[in-house]
Amino acid sequence: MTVIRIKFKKDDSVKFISHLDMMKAFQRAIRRAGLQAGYSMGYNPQMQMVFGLPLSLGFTSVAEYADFSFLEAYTPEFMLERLNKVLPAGLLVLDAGMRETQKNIMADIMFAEYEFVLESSLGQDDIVEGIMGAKRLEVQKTRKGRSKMIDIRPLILKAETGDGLVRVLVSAGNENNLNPRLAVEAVARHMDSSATGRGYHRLGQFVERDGVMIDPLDDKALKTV
Amino acid sequence: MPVHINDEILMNVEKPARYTGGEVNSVARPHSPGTVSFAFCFPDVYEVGMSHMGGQILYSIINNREDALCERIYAPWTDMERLMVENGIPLYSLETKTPAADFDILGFTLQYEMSYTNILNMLHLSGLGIRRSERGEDTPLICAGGPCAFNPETLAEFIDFFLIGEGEEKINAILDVCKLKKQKGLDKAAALRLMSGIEGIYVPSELDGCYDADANLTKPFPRTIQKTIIKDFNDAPYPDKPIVPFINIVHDRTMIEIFRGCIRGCRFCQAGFTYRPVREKTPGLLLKEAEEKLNSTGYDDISLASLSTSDYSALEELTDGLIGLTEAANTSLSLPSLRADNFSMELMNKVQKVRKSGLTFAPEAGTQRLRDVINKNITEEDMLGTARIAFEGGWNTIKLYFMLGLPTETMEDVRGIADLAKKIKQIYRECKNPSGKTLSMTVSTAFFIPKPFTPFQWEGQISVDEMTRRQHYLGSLLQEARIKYNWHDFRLSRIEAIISRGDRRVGRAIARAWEKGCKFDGWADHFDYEKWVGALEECGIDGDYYAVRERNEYEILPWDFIDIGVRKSFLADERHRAYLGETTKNCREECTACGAACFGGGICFDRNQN
Repeated sequence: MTVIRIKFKKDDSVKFISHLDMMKAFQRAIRRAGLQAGYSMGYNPQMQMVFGLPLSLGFTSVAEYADFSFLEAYTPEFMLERLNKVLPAGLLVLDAGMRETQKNIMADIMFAEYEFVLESSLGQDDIVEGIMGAKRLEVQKTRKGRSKMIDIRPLILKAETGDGLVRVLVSAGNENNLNPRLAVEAVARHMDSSATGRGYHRLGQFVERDGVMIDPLDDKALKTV
Repeated sequence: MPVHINDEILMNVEKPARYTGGEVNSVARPHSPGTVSFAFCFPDVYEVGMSHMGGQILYSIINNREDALCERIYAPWTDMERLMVENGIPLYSLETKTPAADFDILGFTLQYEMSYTNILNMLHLSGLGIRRSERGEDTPLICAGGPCAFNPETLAEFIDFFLIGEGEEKINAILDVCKLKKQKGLDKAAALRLMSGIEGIYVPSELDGCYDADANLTKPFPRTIQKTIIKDFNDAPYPDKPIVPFINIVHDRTMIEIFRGCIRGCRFCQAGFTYRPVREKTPGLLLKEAEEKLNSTGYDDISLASLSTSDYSALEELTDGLIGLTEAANTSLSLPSLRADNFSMELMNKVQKVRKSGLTFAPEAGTQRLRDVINKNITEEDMLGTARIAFEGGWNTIKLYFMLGLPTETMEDVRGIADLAKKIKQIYRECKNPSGKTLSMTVSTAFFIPKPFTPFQWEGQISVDEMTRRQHYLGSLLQEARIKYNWHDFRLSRIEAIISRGDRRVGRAIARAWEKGCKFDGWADHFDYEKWVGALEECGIDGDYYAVRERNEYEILPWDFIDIGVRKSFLADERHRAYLGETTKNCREECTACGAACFGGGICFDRNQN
């Protein structure tokens, strides 16, 4: 079994396709491309694919990741080319590499970077300073019908501005994941109640090796755990 | 000019991907003065409309032309409609986001009567008048086709022209006229005169003179319009690259249409008569089509489409070929609408290596007497025998479909439904089901709705009181463990009966109902019976006159000027046979000279060659 990790982008035209529907779109693309995918065993065989951090509905991204399993020993370049010929407009594979470890992308992601437009009566610089200077940033988080107050300040590693956008590097993954929308809610709660965000765009997802944040397609990420 | 739908709107509607397009195999081409633009309009929500094969067929035919383009428009769900209206966004096409009113022609498909208010609503959301008299020269031509177009009069005051029958061939003639209209700057009346020369086209303005101001028929119809068909189904164009939706749709799989028409002649079934004669496609062509469609869509599920899978004459050859095609590729094959017999079970066992779906029987009536009346040639013995084999083979879910209120039905026939369900349950008890699961049985009833062009077109529907009485009686008999009883809303069936055999007067009540806010009437949570009752009353329409009244066989029916090939006298004979409890042989066993041979193709001639 060959496992290839891809990096792909999700453009404006497909940003309202949900995570599950996008996975389905990739499955069908792999079949259209005539690539021999690996399937799970059992009664209802499923194509073996693992995606990185789900992207919220309405977000665009230039840094989505997925690991695909194939029965044939395709090179990443060959697979990339075949897949790009049949993907729906708006989804495009940017890069691909051979994953040699057992650690899948979903379990590996630790950080994510986003940019977005923050509309507020305060200046963006003031807001970013406010975020970085705050000791605590509490927001109400609702999950499965239950809401609780959480402090998101530790989840924001970096916040900066530029070109009229706010850019944040946040903690991501199965634990301690921060959706940038929640960061905007925190701003609205603590600094400017009129603050709203739009045009959310993911710039990167990262894994950690030896205490350093690296790209999931970095050699070290593909070959070591 | 394309419309712009901002994120704010899409973030606030359910399933925004219904409104964004961009699906694999969809075609977005620039609009230009030299290109006829056709918007295929489906008067229901995206997931329903995208499951419709006919739309995909027309889409592919039109987009294969250099001088024409086709885009899709579905009815926006109520949340989206509200936001569109609030933001001044007109109804628009998915491909290029072009306002509906900017197309040269809008084509609505009439799949079921309860979508008619949605047609009016979609015209209104396009900024167009709902009546043809209210639309000027600078608006698109509005046409309609599909199964309900066989009784076009109900919508005659709204639609510019109808295509009666199968559209695959004649769509090209329609586009040619549109092109001429565009090039020569013809007015609508001139274009419609040309349209009326096309086989199968009905232009309702031609009949305006036959009606008085209150839409009562005052003169006989001047001419008949014969339906148009694809004579040799092997020649029927099919989409080799069907559109693949992003979101789940009702029939989320690729489909191949194995034949058109039905040999059976069940006396309540409109499709069984209007699609005559039966025309098959060869297994070789179907396998090629299946392979192309699987390769171009990436679907992992393929299904056969027809009115009755078991009646395809080369079913074994076809399924063997399809199994070969699908098993290696982790693709599942579904075989819907199989007859309840041993052959079907063997077939399912062979196929169902991949996926085991439930067992479905549609006996329609609970007693053999009544099944003979409706010419549903399925016996209790067949069903019980098939159920036994299925249960022993590990099936544990079964669905049974029946109709209540069929002509001559008595309480004994209603009881027969419960008796049959219980017998099947008993068989499950006797069988050693290897799955070890308990039985899950669903019994569903719908009310009989008399439809045009059936032997029962003259019949009355039972009254609303009678509907409730029979439904409650059956419900009381089916209070059993492991049997779930589902029923259709009798009020919906009543309105559907009125519209099905409606005329221009009923059309006015539909407009009134829409004005009162009716839309998505086929959706139980949107159907508002009180509004419909009010609309009928305000238009001076007695619902019983249309739904419950038995027609005299000499009465002029609103659809008499449409010729489906099958003669009215044949339908009347079939009705008389029904009352005698006499069944009629199917087209493959014996030709009953129904009249459909006039089209010069299909089973009528296959038989003679044998």
